[in-house]
Amino acid sequence: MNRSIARISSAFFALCFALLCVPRAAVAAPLWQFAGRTFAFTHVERSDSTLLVGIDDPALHRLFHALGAIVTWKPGARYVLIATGEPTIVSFAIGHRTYDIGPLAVRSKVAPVVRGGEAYLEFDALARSLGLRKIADGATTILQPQITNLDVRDEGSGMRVIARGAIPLEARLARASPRQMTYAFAGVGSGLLHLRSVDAGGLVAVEISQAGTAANPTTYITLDLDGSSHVAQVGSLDGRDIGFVIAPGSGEVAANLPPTLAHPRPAATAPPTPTPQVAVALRPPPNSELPTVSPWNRVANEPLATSPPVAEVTPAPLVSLAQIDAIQAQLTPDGVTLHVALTGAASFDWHHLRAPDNRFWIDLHGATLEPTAIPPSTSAPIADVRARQIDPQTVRIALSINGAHDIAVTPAATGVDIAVNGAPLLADISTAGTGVAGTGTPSVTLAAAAPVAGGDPNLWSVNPVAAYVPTNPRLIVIDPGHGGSDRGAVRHGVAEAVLTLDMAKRLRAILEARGWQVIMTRTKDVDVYAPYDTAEQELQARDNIANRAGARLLVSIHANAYINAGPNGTTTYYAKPIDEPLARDIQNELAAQVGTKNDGIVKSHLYIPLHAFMPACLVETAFLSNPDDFALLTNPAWRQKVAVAIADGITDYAGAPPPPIQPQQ
Amino acid sequence: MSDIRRSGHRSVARSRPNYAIPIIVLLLLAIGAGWWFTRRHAASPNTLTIYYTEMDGTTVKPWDVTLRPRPAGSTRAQWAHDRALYAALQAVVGPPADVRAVRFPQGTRVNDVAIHGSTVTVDLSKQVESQPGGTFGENAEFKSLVYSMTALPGISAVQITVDGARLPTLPGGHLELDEPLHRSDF
Repeated sequence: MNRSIARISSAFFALCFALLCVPRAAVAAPLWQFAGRTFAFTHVERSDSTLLVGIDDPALHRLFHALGAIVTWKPGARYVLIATGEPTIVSFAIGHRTYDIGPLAVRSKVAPVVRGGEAYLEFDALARSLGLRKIADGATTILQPQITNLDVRDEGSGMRVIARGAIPLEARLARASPRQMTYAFAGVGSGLLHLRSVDAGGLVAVEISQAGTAANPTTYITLDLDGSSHVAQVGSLDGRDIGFVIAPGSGEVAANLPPTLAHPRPAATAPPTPTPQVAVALRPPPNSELPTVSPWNRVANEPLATSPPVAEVTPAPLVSLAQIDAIQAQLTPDGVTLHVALTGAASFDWHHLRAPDNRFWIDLHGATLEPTAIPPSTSAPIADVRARQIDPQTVRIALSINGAHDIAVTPAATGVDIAVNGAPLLADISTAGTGVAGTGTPSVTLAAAAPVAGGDPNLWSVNPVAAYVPTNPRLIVIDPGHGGSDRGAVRHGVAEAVLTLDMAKRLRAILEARGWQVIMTRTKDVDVYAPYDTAEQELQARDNIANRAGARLLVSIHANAYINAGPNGTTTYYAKPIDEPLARDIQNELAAQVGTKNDGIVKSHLYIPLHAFMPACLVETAFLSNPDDFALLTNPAWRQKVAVAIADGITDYAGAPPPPIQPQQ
Repeated sequence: MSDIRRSGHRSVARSRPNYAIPIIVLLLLAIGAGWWFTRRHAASPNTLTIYYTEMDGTTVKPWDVTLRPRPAGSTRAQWAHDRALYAALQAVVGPPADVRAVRFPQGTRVNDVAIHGSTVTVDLSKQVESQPGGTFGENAEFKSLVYSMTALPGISAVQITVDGARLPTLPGGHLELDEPLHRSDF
């Protein structure tokens, strides 16, 4: 008896031991199928027969990728956040059974847990939140992506039907008649199967049906029309959706057809009726006056505005550059003083941002940073000192300051002293200044900059130069956006870089004819700084040209673009308070003369106007991505209109150019 | 006369019940309840206001989202981080699909957020650099992000980094991103 008990006991413990030793992955390795591929999850847990999958599971990662979903989680985090491709944010809180799919709170069977530094989520909840339907098929479970949403809207001008799916939708015209249009969506199913009566805007009803197998479904959306309307437009706003616009009258399926409609994929399953041959009229290419050009070609055969040839004004060549030999820190009774040792002379401008930034930087122009100039170790209240050559002739020394402290910049014959007072300030303001340090004549002359007044929140984070006195008030700098290795936006082979250069040349001709001196930051399709440089190098090089020349104003010319054809119009952007009047005058003239939608002036944190000392703005003339705007942009006569309007805006702002300074006898 | 008055006073004093103790108790209870209520709500507000930019490229509109209640045991700093991360993710993903809004490039992820004083650093993934090429998108995207993050209590500035690194501007871009962005920049 005792022996039997002992045997049973040992067998029981052996069984328990064996169960404990079995790898977890081997306990449950069900097969799944998605988009024709079979796979198994390897990071799995089970709780009361509910499957949990680790978010680091390779198969789950591939599934997320296929669905365009993005997971945000790292060990120690309290939430697993998933941005689905739809897009919706799904948030799982570790230890909580309730999770959110967008605004919808849902309860899972098992709360998310963390095992070995990995979060495990209930797979049923995951599948639901990702728009996947689980369908058992023998030993395999099929994950069928769904059309998750069908929206019918009356937009006044017509009805719009929008379908959204768990995966990007591709529509194929399956059947067409004056009263009924049927579109097939291969690879997706739908739990929305029903007939929806509409009776508005020429749309009688919308019907959803499904055919095919669980692994290879096709969903059909049928639009019942009343005979007085037609499907005027089929397109996608973001690739995840398909929208149908129903408009009055009869007509062919027309504009904005996605490529899948023009070149439909073979249907995965047979449509309910044989597919008729439907004439699909794609919008013809815009009536462009441009020849087909490679992105690198300039716009050819276009007359420029006639004007007497004027020699291009170029910045004075640099004589010699000063050298920054050392940066030394010295403790003083009041705090810390940095001495920037200089051989030669350099002009400089400095900026100090108020709390919470507390950042300070000084740009030494016409100077190079010698390898010996190593930033010193820091002492409170300075948290960090950085020095770098931001362009071939400018060195920037930047300080991070702990808290608000008074900073004094004092030029000397041997360089520049930057004294940071150790006593914290209760309230500070953004300040700025300019000066010349070292011995000799600096190679770059800066315009005087006045410190900004405090209190105005609009001033404190922009390049804080409130007053500007141009050293050459007759000079206007035009910046044709992009160029060279940076093509800007490109559409149908037409590059923004080419168009902006053309408009800039036209503007130059007009301004010169009106008596202005003009510098263009580039006169060819080239990079201003260097091919394949950084955006900062490129943009700063353009600002440097205007800053060093002491120009009256700077206008940067661009063409806008977006991921879809919707946005259109003309906008003038500005950044600093002193930019706004210039931007407004230019935009007013553009609105009056060029015939695009007037999108007004917009304040933004743009590099070019921010880093220009003078009034500056950036004109986004029109949208390359919008067909109507594109037709205008590629029309030389319209580009000439733009140039005239900008020139008129400059005249409104600045008046007539001042008379040239006569050389002394 | 004075005796009568005195005795009358005594009689009134004897008949008045003693309210002092219950009033003090009720007052303490009210103060305690008020303190508990305000503390609870100040410590764990789970509704966040997120902004998106309309298709005109400039108009920002708010919408409210809800984060699960504060997990038990998380510190105030952790909760602030969780809220900021959720806000950044919502702002980058944008409003529901049927709302027309200017959205960040597809695939842009929020790697993490970090709060230092009144500045929140939002670390975005490289996909944010896949801009279509105009000022329109950049301005609208970052405007909505900055508005969303500065709607968080105590946050007034947003430092953008891309895969952990600060960058002066996006490649081929237009916006200056080296310094923290504020609402007043837009």
